[in-house]
Amino acid sequence: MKGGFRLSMTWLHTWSGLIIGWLLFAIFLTGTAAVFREEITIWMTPERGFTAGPVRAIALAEARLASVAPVASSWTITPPDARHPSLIVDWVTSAPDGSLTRHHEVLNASTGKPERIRETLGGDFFYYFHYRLEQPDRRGWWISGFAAVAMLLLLTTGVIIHRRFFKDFFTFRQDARPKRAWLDAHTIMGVLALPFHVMITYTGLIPILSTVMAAGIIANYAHGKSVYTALMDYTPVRNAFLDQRQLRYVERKPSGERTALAPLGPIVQYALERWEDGRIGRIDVSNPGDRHAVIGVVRHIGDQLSNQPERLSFDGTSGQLLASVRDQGPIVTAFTVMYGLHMARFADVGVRWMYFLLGLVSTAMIGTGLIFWTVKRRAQYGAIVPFGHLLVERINVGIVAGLPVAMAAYMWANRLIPGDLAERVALESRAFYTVWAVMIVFAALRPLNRAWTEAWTIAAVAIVALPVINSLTSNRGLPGSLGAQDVIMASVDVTLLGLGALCAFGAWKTAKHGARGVVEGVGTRNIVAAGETAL
Amino acid sequence: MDPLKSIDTIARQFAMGNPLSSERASGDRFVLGVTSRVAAAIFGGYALAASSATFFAVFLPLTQVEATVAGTFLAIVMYVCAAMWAFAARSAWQAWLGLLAPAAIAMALVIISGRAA
Repeated sequence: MKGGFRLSMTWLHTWSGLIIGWLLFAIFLTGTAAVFREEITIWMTPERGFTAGPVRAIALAEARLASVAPVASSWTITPPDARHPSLIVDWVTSAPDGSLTRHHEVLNASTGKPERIRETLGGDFFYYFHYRLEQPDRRGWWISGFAAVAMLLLLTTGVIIHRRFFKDFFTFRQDARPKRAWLDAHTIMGVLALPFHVMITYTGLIPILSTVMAAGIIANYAHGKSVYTALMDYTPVRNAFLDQRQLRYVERKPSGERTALAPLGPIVQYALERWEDGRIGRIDVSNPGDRHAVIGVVRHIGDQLSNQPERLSFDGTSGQLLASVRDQGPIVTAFTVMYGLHMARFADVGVRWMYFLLGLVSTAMIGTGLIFWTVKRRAQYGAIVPFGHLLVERINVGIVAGLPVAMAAYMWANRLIPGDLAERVALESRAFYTVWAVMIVFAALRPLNRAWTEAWTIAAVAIVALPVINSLTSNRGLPGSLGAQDVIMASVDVTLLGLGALCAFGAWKTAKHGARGVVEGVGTRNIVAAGETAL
Repeated sequence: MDPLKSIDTIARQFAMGNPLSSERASGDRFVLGVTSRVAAAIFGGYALAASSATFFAVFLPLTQVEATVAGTFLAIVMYVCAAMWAFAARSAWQAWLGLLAPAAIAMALVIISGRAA
């Protein structure tokens, strides 16, 4: 029954690949973009200035917070680093009735004055979309978690159905029948980057794991509650688990007695000496101005592979060290390291580029798989093609070539919507969804071979235009940024040009092969005729 | 075009070259069998994954935190294997049985041991 097993795995790969492939394509492409989310955010807020060293920045932030909110529920200071050149302060104030108000400011790190920058989600939009999928509550976590398990299933079945795993490695029949070429492209990208595919998919489950697979935590930490109660009110159960992992920080309720906060300078010095060459990632103060204030200093997340940097807690009045939190035990460390591997916050520029390029390979693997699905089946039909098949072919265009257009539209919107418009954050994301929907409809209305060429052309134009728009709407355009060694700005522009060229290549390729490439053997006229018959 | 006929075409296309042995017969039986297997893979697979997470969290000879995390790691692997089993099994019934029986045994052991908090 060995052959039977492989056949049923092929069947499973084919069908689950089709059903979940579109979602996976979107998750992988936006996730790939999110590798450079800090850089995209900088591109999307070009009015943001350059800033100074972190120690001085922290002192400026402290002065700013002490003047705007001497008594607050919390303060958070994010000093600048190489990828993220701004000083950010966040604070939360509580009214007597207990309601909380959040404040957010970007400070100029040489003057300490707030900077006026446009409101935008920046690169975080792609990051959030990548796992929340714009769903309320945590529904998006469940959907993307399910997609990740399906991806693992696809990778496993994909390996099983490739009996000639190593021989296929060296086979790319570019000029053979298109059906073969699509399959070979899909296989090569699958095999070549298999370790990356597996790593990024498995570790992708880690951040959401305690929510989507809570059974073990409930079994050990529900403490006498029924499973139903534990599921309905899961936060205390999860906190009991985190408490035992010692991941929750020192928490104290406000005393109501006002005391001045200990100066941050000596505490910052202490932390920097303790970490030798380490950097400070964040400082957060709970209940500043109260006798029960706690000052937390978190090490920079780029200083270690793990996503759980050491955190020091200090008494807010005396400045004495209260506790330090670190990973405990090999399996918990494996957990935080896998978390870190997915987030790639440890990565320097070179490794970050590797993540980006391999992410593109994963995305292209999914895309070629989707196209192969239709090309292979198209060959099996005569002149009459079922409606379902035509639908799949069109949705493929709308997703594979339409999503890049939508992502470009989001960045267009960033520059075209006035900087001081109140609703601009919502409008930016609406541009993304609207354009995506338009592209899907567009793909459905055009003849298939032209739909591909036209969609890729639109994508190429939309993306290549972005550096142009940048130079028209900011003073950090490409020629200037290259001259001024404005590395991040110039890199984003050059990368966009490269991605635009990639889309143009797609347009050229589909135009050249046209009917032959995407619709093996059947003339375009027949397809249109068949489509009309089917409709 | 008649939408019902269209759905029927898709169903036949779905069955084309289908290797799932008990559903080789086309028509209603095929659709029913595949639906059942899909449900087994998703829900039965989750049940098996969750109960194995529980089983390992409770029985692995590690500290409570380590066992909990290790159990969750293993649960992902179980889920993937479970989904493959759902489509490799000889019949849809067998697919369900092969998922729910070990899940039930694992949960029974956890409950009998009285070690869950």
